[in-house]
Amino acid sequence: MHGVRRTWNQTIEQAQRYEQWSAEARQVLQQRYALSRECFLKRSEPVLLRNPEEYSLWNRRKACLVERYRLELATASENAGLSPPPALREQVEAEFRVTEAALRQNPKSYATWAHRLWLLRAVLPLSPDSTSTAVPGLGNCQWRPPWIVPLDLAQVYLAREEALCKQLLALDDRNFLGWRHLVEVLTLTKGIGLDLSSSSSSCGEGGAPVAGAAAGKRLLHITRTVLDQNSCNYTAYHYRSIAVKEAPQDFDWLEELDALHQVMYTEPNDQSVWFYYHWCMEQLQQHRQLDQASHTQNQAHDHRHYLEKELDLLDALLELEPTARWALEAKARHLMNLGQHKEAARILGEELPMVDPLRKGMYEELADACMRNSLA
Amino acid sequence: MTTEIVKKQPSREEASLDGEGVDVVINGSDLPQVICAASLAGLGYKVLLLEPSETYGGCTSGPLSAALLFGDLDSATDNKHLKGPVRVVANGGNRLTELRSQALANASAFVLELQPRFYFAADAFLDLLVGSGAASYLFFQPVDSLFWLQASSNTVADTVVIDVPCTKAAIARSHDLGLTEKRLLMRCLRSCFVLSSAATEYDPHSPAMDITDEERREMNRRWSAAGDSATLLQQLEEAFASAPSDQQWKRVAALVHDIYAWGIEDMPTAPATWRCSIDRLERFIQSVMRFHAATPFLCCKYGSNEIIQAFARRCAVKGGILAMDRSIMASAACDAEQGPDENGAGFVVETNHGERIFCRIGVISPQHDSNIHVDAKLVLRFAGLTSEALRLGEPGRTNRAATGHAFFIARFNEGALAAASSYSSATLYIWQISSAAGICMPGYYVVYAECDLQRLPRQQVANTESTASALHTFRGMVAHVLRCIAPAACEACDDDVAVLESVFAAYAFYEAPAPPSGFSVQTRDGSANVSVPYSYARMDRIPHAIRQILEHIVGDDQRAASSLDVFFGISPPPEGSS
Repeated sequence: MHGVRRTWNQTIEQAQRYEQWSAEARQVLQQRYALSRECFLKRSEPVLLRNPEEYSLWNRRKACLVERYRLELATASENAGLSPPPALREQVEAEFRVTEAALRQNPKSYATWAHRLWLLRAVLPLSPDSTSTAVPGLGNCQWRPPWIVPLDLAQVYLAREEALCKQLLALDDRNFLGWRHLVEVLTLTKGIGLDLSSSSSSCGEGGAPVAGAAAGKRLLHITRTVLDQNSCNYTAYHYRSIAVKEAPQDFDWLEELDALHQVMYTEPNDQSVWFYYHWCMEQLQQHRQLDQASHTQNQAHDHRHYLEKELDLLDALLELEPTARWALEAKARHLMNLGQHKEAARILGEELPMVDPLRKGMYEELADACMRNSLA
Repeated sequence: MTTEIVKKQPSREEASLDGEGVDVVINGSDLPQVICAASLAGLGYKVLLLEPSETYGGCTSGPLSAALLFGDLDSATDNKHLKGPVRVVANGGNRLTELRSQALANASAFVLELQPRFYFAADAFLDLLVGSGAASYLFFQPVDSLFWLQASSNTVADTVVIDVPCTKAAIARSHDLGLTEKRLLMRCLRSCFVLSSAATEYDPHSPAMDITDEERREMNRRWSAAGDSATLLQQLEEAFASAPSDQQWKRVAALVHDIYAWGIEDMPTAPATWRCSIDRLERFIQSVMRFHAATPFLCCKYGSNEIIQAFARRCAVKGGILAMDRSIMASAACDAEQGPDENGAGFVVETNHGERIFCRIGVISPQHDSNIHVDAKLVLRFAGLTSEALRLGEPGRTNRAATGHAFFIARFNEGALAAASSYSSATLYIWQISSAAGICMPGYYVVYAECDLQRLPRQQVANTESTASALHTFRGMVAHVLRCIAPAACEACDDDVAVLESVFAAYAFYEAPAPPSGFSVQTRDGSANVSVPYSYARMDRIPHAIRQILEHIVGDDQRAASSLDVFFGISPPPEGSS
């Protein structure tokens, strides 16, 4: 967890506990094909709850679950309606609970998050008219539940996922696995068709999520909440930039920049804000270049005007904090974009190495590149 | 049809304390006395607490129904329905009828407390509540908003109102501070925090982490060079001599000094030293971080009287006796022969019912400041009911829940109190407590205002006249603050009374007696006086003073000293204890 100091000295009890756990885990692993399905599920549960970082056990659980579902299907095929049988739903819930307990034990376990995502994807169809029957992660297992999950049930599942992610992110707002899961969940929401404004696109098989506009707005809202609590969170800014790309039309760039200015002045040493700030400026530049084509000549100088305003702001900040290196770097970058390469090179070559001598080499290189650009 | 419930009171003979032998007798049931009683009972002493009135609480005793406080002036002047010595000095409000019938209908559902307090979350007082076990009987809620007003003149436009941000994220989000002010504020807070005694480089959240050792040493050296008696403001001025804008800097410095370093209660003639201010600032920040709330304050649900009740319960649970309706007529030392057992001398305490109680070890009695002419305090209080929360700015701008509690602190500088220029700078405290705290009726907020109008020595006027002029000033101050906070409601009103009427459905001004300023502890070895300063939001001095009282009683007992450490929350309780 971020912000909690780790103790590197293991106590004797901790070492003994680990020995015990690894002996048990090894035993279960060796017997995983030999044990019956139910027995394995029962025996692997306490092992995984104590330490969920054992991929093979989770994978074997996946296979056991699939076998179980197949058996259920075979027995219940006569009265197979269009909704999953209740016994099956109970088993799915039980598995969700196991993963949740494992997450509380270790919120940053790749294996657990992956298992939970697999479970979600297995239970919910990828899109209303999905024809693919392969379950990702199990290779050749050609199996797909024949039922269509009713929308309210799907909504319950997905809302629960979102709530879980929010809870774990509240504990540690830089838990990137939680963020990743949240984005996947929002994709699935979109993919299932739960938001009415979505039009096309389904999730690629194991590829990057393509979030729809409503999911983008949701993500924007969530990141805004997290950033309001703690504005120095790189992960949140990263996902905010992804959300913005998906829902560009309702995004107010100027308001965003204003919020960033507040954070820059409150804490100029926090690097995450500056990275996001530069990204925002680049996006703005691209937007304005697109707009320029369709607008009159009067707005052609818009971006230069904004750059100059930003420069004024940075100058004011540097007056208050002459040693704020991120602000100096930002100023140099703006100057380069405005075409004042000599001034930018001077800042990079002279002022920045004085403020931040550890990165002298980098600044000198940047200054050289800047001068070359100006001559070219 | 109403049924009268007749309680069978124990007869005087059944409940008599005549001839009772105890270890310690405590007079009164204000907060310090009940804490002493709980502590001594926990140590194994036999404690008897005598309270002159019929309810706990002394000067804060209740319950008090809104219908009675906000009733007509005529029926309230005789005060016979008001428990405890509270005097309503002015009443008013024309929109009473509807409200009074509502209040009567809901009378059993809420209480009014006359001296609300907010408590710092990381304070000696909270440690005392936890260590003594009284906290298990209490509920606390965080205060949602903290506002600071600096009134330099009587015009609303010149009054600076700031929603005080208590965390870094809140500072970044704040709409009341400009960019430069945010930067200056962060620099101030960081310097102060780095210099505080508890800042270590091992805490990942501490700003001390991102500062080099030489920088910290240099800062220490520079600040110590000014001397120990320099104030925080002086140190900050030197440290930030190159601030660009004087106006902005002054505002930030005043904010840091008044609120973060809680200098608002210091007299201008006796300012706190910079080390003391830094300790207070650190306490402010620790209080915010302790429960991750928006402000450093907690407010006791169901009223601060509950705290007195909690300690009284602890005392009773450990075997103490609490007797109401008894005041001490006389207490005299007695020799070994007069006492009931052969353990030696003690005291004989006589109550107003003629009971004689023998006390082996000591008597603790309150002392009131009898000197009313020089440096006397005149504290006026105000209670008003409003159906809408007092809130600064539009509801959409701030992120706070609408049913919260809020604390407004207004500092009136010299010249701002045009009506009565004989009063020096005054600080007005306004608490807004929502019905969620169980204190007022559902759907309403109680707004309390309290101000200590220091009387200068040259004012030698009779009590009633000075009270009237003080009341006039106080009313003006409350009305001025309301105009700043709830401008929509008071646009067309120029008159103070009109402002109050337009915002509050019912209101009253009242004087409640001052709490005891000190205690005299009579033991067999002699008597001692301990002063217990009361202050509006600073309760941390009370545990220290109470510890002194207890040490007089307990003496040099080592075991008792370690138990007292546990009681005051200084050390954790030993394993396996209840």
